[in-house]
Amino acid sequence: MIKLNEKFNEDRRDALQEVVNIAMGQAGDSMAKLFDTFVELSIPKFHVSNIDQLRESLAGKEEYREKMTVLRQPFSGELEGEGITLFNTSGTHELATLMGYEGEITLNNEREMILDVCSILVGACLNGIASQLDMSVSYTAPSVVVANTGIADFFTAGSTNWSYALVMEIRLTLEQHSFSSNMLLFLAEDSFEPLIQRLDILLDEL
Amino acid sequence: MSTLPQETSTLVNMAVSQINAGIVILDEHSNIVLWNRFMEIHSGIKSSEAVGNSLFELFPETAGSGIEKKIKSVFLLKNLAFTSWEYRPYLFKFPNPRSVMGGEKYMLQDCTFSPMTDESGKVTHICLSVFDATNTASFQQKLLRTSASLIKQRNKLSALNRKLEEAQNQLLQSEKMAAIGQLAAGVAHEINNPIGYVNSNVSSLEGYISEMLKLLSAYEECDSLLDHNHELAQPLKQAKNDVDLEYLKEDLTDLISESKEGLVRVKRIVQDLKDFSHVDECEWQATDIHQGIDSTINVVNNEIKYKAEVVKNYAELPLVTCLSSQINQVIMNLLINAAHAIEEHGIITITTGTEENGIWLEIEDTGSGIPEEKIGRIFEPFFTTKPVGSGTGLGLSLSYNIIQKHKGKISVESELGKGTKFHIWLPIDAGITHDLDTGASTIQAKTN
Ligand SMILES: Nc1ncnc2c1ncn2[C@@H]1O[C@H](COP(=O)(O)OP(=O)(O)O)[C@@H](O)[C@H]1O
Ligand SMILES: [Mg+2]
Repeated sequence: MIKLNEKFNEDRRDALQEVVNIAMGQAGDSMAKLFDTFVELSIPKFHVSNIDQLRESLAGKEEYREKMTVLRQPFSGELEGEGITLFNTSGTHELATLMGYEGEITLNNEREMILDVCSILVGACLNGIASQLDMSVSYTAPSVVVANTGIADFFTAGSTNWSYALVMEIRLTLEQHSFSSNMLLFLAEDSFEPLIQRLDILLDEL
Repeated sequence: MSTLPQETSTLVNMAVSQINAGIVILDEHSNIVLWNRFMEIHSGIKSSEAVGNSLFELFPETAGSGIEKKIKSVFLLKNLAFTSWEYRPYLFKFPNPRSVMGGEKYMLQDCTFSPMTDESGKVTHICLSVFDATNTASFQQKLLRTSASLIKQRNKLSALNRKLEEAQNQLLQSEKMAAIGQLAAGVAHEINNPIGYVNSNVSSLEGYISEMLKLLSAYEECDSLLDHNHELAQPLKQAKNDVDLEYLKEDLTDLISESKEGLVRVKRIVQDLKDFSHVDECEWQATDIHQGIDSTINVVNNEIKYKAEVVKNYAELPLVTCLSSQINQVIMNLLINAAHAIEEHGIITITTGTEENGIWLEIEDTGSGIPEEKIGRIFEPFFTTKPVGSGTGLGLSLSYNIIQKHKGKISVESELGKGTKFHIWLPIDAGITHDLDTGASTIQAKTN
């Protein structure tokens, strides 16, 4: 941990925060165009965390205690990790029109819809970061991990294959729609080195 | 592609044509720009017919189901969009090429929409790849079916297990009951004798004491005669004061009546124990239930007359073959419980009726009711909420056993603060089927 904090020193943190802020702005813009509605993305704070710390910090937060559907969107390349999106499925019917579904919404439609939102959200945020840092990233299909559970139960030891990750929490809110969703973006330990290199290049350019 | 050498470009074209997956390239209006061989073969639509047409016009069923948004999102966000056979079995309705072997009618598909960008990084086209997932899917579905049937079997097994456990519990319970029964019969018998003579002694004592008191009063009448004889009168007066004669007289009567009350209680407990162990068994006979109820009310009238008014709603009932003294016992238990449950004054309603080859009777009170957490336990032997001395907790368990033996049913409904209703159903001719199998238990009970 100490070593990690050294790696992500203040300069690099500031640089990363700047990159992330810009990326969120772009992502919010594009998503607003996509959904034709005002989209609010919270500016994420990031922290390096191991699985126990993460579970503890999640369990402490009110919004993660409800039962939710958990989706995962893995990504790989120079940026490697996973985007975990949490939906409170009670708001998903609202989404149907936004996502261009006509007629009755089946459970399968609903699932595909939230999977779409998951990959849109992860893709929009991550692409912005990757393109600024000139890093490659590619995606595999997202999947439903668990339906209707508390998120803290999901992060139990052995359920993930990383020990440390850079975690960002991002909240998506669609104005005028009662829909909101939380996303946790995990950058795996393997991405730390290349990420730091790119951040240093960025810092040098200043 | 223009940067590729001629030869490589040919190879790439070949690959696109030969690859065992559908490749469709769409422009920003969702018009088809490329349609590879896989798509030609499975759709039956030639590349020349497809190219230039809109995807949604060529496959109208894909419109209005979120595909437009997926495409838009790829253009706007440069991200990937997917469809999975699990939630959307297919994007294109292609017949399943393996349908000869049965199984899925249509090809199940996983599709990916990926962005194609120009030098400036702007998305100009979308590459839609279509993968045949039928094999994986049917395999997975088979797996799901197998695991579902495994789960079903496991549930069946655990249900069986539970039943077995229940049966074992019941066996244990009935063994316990038999042991308790024997114990109870023994205790009852042992207590009966001493209680018998204590009872008669106390009765005699009561008689003697009242005679003695009469005699004492007679003597006291003569007290005035001693007034002039101070020497005699003084020690007598002293002795009277020393023993506190007035208090003694009062307390003697109290003591005797309390002892008698205690004896009645002991007798009741002994009777409960006897009933419980079926010491007093009688014969199966056609019985007028109403008569039984009426005589039982007479027996317990002392206990209920100050507590409740008894209302009878009798229907016309056929004769019921039963062990009448036992049925009376049940009715008595219910009546006494009802009276106990009424705090000040209330109503006990007895209703009867016929149903399905049987008769039913209900005893309803306006008493305190039974709390939900206790209602499941009231039929347990020794379960009582009454203070030590007034409840044995055997009444309902005994009643339950008696009704069971009659192949009948007893149930209870209660609302806290409102009252309680016991419902009993008895078959008309339980005795016919019972003669044989209760023969043994009757004999056994009698030898107890
Ligand atoms: N009519 C009733 N109203 C309220 N409670 C009842 C009634 N009948 C039975 N109970 C409850 O069930 C318990 C068990 O009854 P019973 O087996 O007859 O034993 P006992 O009367 O000796 O306590 C009673 O102690 C009482 O709490
Ligand atoms: Mg009782």
